[in-house]
Amino acid sequence: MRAVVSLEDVRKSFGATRALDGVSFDLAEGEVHALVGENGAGKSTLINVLAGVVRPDSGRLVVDGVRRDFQTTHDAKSAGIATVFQELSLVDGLSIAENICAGRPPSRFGLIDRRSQWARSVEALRMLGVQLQPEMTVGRLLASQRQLVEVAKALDQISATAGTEGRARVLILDEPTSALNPDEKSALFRAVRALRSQGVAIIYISHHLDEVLALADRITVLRDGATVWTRPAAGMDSDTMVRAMVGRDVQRAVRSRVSAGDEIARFEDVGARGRIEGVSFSLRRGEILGVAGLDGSGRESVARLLAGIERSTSGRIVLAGRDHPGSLRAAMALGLGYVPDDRKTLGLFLDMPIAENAVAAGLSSVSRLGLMNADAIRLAGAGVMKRHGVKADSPRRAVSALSGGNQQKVLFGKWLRRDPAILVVEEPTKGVDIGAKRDIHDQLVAHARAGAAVLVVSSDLPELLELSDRIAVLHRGRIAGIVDGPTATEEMVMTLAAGATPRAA
Amino acid sequence: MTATIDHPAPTSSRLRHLGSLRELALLLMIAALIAGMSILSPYFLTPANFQAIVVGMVPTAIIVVGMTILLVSGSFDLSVGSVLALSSTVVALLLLAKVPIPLAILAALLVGVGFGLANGLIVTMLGVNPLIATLGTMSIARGAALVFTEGFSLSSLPPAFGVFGKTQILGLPLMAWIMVAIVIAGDVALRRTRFLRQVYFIGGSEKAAALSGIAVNRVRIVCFVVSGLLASVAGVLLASRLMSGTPTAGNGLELQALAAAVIGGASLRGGEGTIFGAVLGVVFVALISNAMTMLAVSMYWQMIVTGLVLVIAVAVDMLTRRKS
Repeated sequence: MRAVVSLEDVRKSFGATRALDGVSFDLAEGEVHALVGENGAGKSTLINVLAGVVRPDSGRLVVDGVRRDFQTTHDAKSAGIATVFQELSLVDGLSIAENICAGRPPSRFGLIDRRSQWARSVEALRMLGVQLQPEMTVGRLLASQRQLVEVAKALDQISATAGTEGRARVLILDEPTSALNPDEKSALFRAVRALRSQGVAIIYISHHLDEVLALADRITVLRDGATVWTRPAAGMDSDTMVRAMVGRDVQRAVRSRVSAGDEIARFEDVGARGRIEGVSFSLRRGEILGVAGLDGSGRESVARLLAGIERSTSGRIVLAGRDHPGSLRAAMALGLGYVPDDRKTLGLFLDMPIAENAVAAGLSSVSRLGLMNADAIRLAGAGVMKRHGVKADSPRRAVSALSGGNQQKVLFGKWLRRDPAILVVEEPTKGVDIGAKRDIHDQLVAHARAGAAVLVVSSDLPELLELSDRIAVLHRGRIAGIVDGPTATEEMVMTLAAGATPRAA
Repeated sequence: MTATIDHPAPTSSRLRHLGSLRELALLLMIAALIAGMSILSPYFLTPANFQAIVVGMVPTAIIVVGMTILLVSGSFDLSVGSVLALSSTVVALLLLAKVPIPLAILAALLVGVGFGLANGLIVTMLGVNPLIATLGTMSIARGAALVFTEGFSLSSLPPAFGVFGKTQILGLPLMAWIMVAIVIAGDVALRRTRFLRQVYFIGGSEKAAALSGIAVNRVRIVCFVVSGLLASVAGVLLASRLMSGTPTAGNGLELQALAAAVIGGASLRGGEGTIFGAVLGVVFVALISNAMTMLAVSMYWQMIVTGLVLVIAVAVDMLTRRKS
């Protein structure tokens, strides 16, 4: 195996934080090399170094036997590295085809060659098995479709440069499956394997260790900015990886079944045009109710209707003994808290300090007679950091400087600080590492056990199975069944979600 | 240093106060400008010139308070210069129609509130971009002022109306003290009050603010109303000083206020800026044009220099930010 890319003892600090503290790593031609590690382990920084976004403080980066010092993302692209970032980089107003070919649009006589642009996009989408019209505007796509277009863009870079001097031979995929359903995932895996057989070297980053085991040839574990080990994927198991990632043994939380308390919210035959229909359930104090369903099943609408940010068109939603007031603000006054699914655009104020984020949903708790108290804000921030184990040097640190897991903890801290009697959570651990995931799960369980009702919507089925006391499964906007959490299996839930009749028990 | 460990709070909040390098840099540049000019011109450091500078910047300094609040919320208001003109003509028209002075002033202020409310409703309820919305009301207010006056200035106002320009307190006219009061009140309100603190969250991320239970539309409307009200306050004070209502007054004032706020550290992206900084920006620009007048530089050159100062200030800020 010949190394296409190798990194030797790469270091990078941001202020006092050592993001990379001596990473060494090599990538061979025609291999899928998985990078795993907790959030904050340095994966993102490593990717940014390879993609030319960040310049390392020291260490060597060798591509194709030549030492490189990327100044810009363009340098990295010219050196043959195609990257699919976690933060999607598509332009909403342009078509799929224009987005896919954005890096190197085909031109004839100085004008964009639309026909060849269209052909190239069709080819890239076909590789991923996606049925999308290239002339569709990206702004109208679902999250999963956007993610696939993003991958298609990188695939196009690889095929458009094939046979040229700067041909792309390295593909970096950073959490490419976070929004994908199982079918889309397997299509993506097929495309990745096809590229591997063509000799493309692939760096694959994922929190989903099962994906890593299914796809990777070799695995490198990062912890605290340094390489722990690189080993072949054959014969590897998740426990070994998790131990290397966290540096200690992690025990699966064993939960006792509890009896739920009084009803605190209820859906009575609720419909919201085009999203859900005839949904009824009851939410009780002390329980975690999971909501499962495929993409497009309307599972998010259940959370958003309860939170008051979507409106129902039929039926009745009861909150704390009265009709739902119909807005988040009013629902908050009745003791509701809502953790949205996208911490970066919906949950947090990225450029603002941890402390300000922590108090954003409860400004009155840090003010008196309409005046803010700066010390109270700082203390609230420090309190959230301590209670949720947020790793940062100060509550004044901007949230954007934190890793995904720590950001998510701040987001939970913001709401749990209010001690909501009803907590509505969407995708509690999206893009979060195992350690932070466990911490967040523990917090949710503790909050429910303390007497609150928690409604969790998640596309991560194992997560729902681990957390929920009951799971409501949606199929095409209707409840296909409500199953008992501790005894449910993945197959049971998937069968209901797919609309099939479960086998008689 | 055990004291700081036991009581870290005062240190951190003080640091944060000094933390704004932009305000510090502006203060230093203002000091340097004053020192340099005192050497270059014997007329610069005189009470008369000081008073001229202060009186001259009253409208901009009052308007910049509202503009900064809007900028922090991620918005802005281009109609302020025209609303100033319209308010000054409304107060003059009413005074000429023998309406009592307090009532005439109140009516002029209501004009400002009305335009602010209209701006706020158009931006929030109709979802029109603030640039377009306030560009429209800017033209409407200016047009209205010209229609009411048929393009002429309205003079021969009752002498008692001149109180804001003529009454001297500690060497400055009453209108200057009103400006000082508005600036201090505005700065404290934006820093400390819960209501205006929400503006930073809205400017930081409007969606996240709404999902944190902040009444985004209500806050944004209030910001526009404050901006309109302050523009009409400036219009009344200007009419009192000039003893006339002028339909062409305040032309380009909205851009001067925007420029000063940005020089003072506000960002068009929203989420940052202080009134203290913005007012320092007004002072800085006012001093530069005063200095150039003293040095007999033509008005036309002054515009070029003001433009350069704006671009350089923002460019330097972007560069320092990129490094950190």
